[in-house]
Amino acid sequence: MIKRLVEFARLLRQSGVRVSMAETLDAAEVLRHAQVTERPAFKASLRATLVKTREDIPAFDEAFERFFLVQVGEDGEELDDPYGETEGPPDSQPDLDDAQDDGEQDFRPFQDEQGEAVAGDGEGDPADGDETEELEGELERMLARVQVGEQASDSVTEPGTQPNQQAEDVDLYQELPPGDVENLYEAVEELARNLVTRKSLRFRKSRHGRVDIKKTIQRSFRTGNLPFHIIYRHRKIKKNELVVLCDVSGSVWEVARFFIKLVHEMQNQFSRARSFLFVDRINEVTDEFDRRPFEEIVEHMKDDHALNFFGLSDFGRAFYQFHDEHLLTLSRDTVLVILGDARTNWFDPQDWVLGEIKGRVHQTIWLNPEPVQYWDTDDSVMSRYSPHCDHVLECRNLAQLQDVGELILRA
Amino acid sequence: MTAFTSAQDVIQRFEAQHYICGPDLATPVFLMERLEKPLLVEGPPGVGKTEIAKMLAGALDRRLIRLQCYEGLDESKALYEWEYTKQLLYTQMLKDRIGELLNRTDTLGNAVETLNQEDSAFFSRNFLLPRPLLEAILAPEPVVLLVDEIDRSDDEFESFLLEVLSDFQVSIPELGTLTAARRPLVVLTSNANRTLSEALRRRCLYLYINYPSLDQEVRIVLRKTPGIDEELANQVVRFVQKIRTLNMRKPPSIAETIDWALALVVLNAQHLSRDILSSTLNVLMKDREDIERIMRDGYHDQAAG
Repeated sequence: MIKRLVEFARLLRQSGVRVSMAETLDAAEVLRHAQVTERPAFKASLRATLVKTREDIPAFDEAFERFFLVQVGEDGEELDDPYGETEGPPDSQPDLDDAQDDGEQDFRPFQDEQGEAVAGDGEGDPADGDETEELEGELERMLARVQVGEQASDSVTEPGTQPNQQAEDVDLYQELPPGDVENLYEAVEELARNLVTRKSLRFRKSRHGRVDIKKTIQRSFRTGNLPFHIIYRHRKIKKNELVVLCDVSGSVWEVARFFIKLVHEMQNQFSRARSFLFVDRINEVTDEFDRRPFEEIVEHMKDDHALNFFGLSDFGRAFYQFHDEHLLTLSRDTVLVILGDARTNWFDPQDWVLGEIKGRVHQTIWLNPEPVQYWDTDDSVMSRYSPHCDHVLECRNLAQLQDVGELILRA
Repeated sequence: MTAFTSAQDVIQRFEAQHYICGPDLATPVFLMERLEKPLLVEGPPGVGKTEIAKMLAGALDRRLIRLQCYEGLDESKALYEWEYTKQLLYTQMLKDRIGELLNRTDTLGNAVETLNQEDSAFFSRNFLLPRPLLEAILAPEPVVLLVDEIDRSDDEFESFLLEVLSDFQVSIPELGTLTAARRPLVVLTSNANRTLSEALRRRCLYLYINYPSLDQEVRIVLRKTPGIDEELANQVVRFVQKIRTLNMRKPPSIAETIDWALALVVLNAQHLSRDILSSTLNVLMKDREDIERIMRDGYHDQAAG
């Protein structure tokens, strides 16, 4: 039973679901305790223990159907021995079979050890003991070896099973295969989480204010000069408002989507986060982001003729329109982030608009996805805009994105 | 009441409290009770996540302790606080006794020493103000602890919660370590405003609830709305489920479906019509733009017809 379970967990990992050793043990525990004999209940039990995010549920369902393929037709019985040693039909698990050539031999004996370790543990508390951690480490190493073997043999990249080690260096300013995009999105999510944690630590400091002696004494007059109520002087932390102006022409949006994702993940760190997309006219999409993924919005924009998605990007015109319609909504708490390559297609850059905006907002940050050496070549007018910005940064990989995130949170 | 015997038992006991669910929901609930593990429930707003904890408390006849999370929630609001005011009040009232006590000492050092010995009088449970988490730990009988909308709290609170949930013990410097006599059943809910940490997910059983199927929602409406015609209930639910697919700003929740059905019953409506719709839609939809969109685009015709 343990063997089957570990194999199943492995299949899940291959389909991109993160399953830890502890969770596998939980699943084993569940099956031991709760006598689940019916297939739906069996499935629900495994799902509750092995899958921990909504996104992974479809992958789990698919893997489950593949792995626990049962002969329903034979006698109508659904699953009399769900976790017995009965091997499923061989064609039900092609991935495992492929792996058997190189990695599986290493893997087998370990499974037996694992089975013993758990069975010998009596109650088998999954959370305790270094043993579990050791096993976990061992399993990770084994898996790593198996995967290296697999990749060497057929060089198939599996989304999710690879750590995002090189994610930081991936050049975002290009067309990426969908699998990579998924991975990078995950990396961005994690990035946002880290950034926000650091920020909330700073919040915490501000929460524990110093005692406000003056007010405490004033208050104590009411209670016969006894300081019943201690009044603290709280440092006020105010949240900034974030306004994002994003050029989506050409290939800039390849980078833009990651930046927008980052902003979306961090949005509760701002009092308000508004987003505008533009080619030669701006379009507010603040509400859209709550409902639809970025790709869909961009797809949608392509259909919107008013937006002229396939037109030439015209920064000057977009800025002027922004100035016209939204200047009054900017305040000293606003952090304005502009993402674009500053290639105006020889149109008037209208850089005075940024100058005016600068006087109204807290900070202006310009992110350029092009490598620095290409700035100001041909129709790029970065240097016309940069005097009006507090920061001008190159932004084309995750490491730079992280710097940007930090900068925005600190602003 | 006794523990659940099977997932089927969960379904029945929940249904006795007018909560209709299938094995997908019942199995994790059954398992969490059996394994004493926390259950993390995710899903869109208004599908009955919080309700699960209430049903659990009702079915097992346990007390429900609720911790509502919000941004900026910290330990002192979730775990415990010393009642400074009460401590000061008592000091004031016991002034004479303290004076008496200190009269017997000759030096200042001795006085401090003597006072120090009485420390425990002021840092005792009498002055401890338990907040939901500590309340759940201190409860002599097993309870159900609901941590609602965990995704609204800060990351640091989440880590702190993780620590509490793993062994159900808390150390209070002045009192020592307090351990739960009986492990509470913990239900955490999240609207996925923020991605929760892997560590928290790992420790919990996971349940994702979506909006119910047509059949299920009809059953819910019939159960919760006395006197409703089955035909009308069907119409109502079909309409609501249609709206949910339309990418509204605020999709209608189950509770709103029920409210709307109740309103229709009160108004003695036999079936949905445009008039009835325009006068009662604000019971179902709470956003002006959504209402306008529905009235304008005439989705009522498709649903009613």
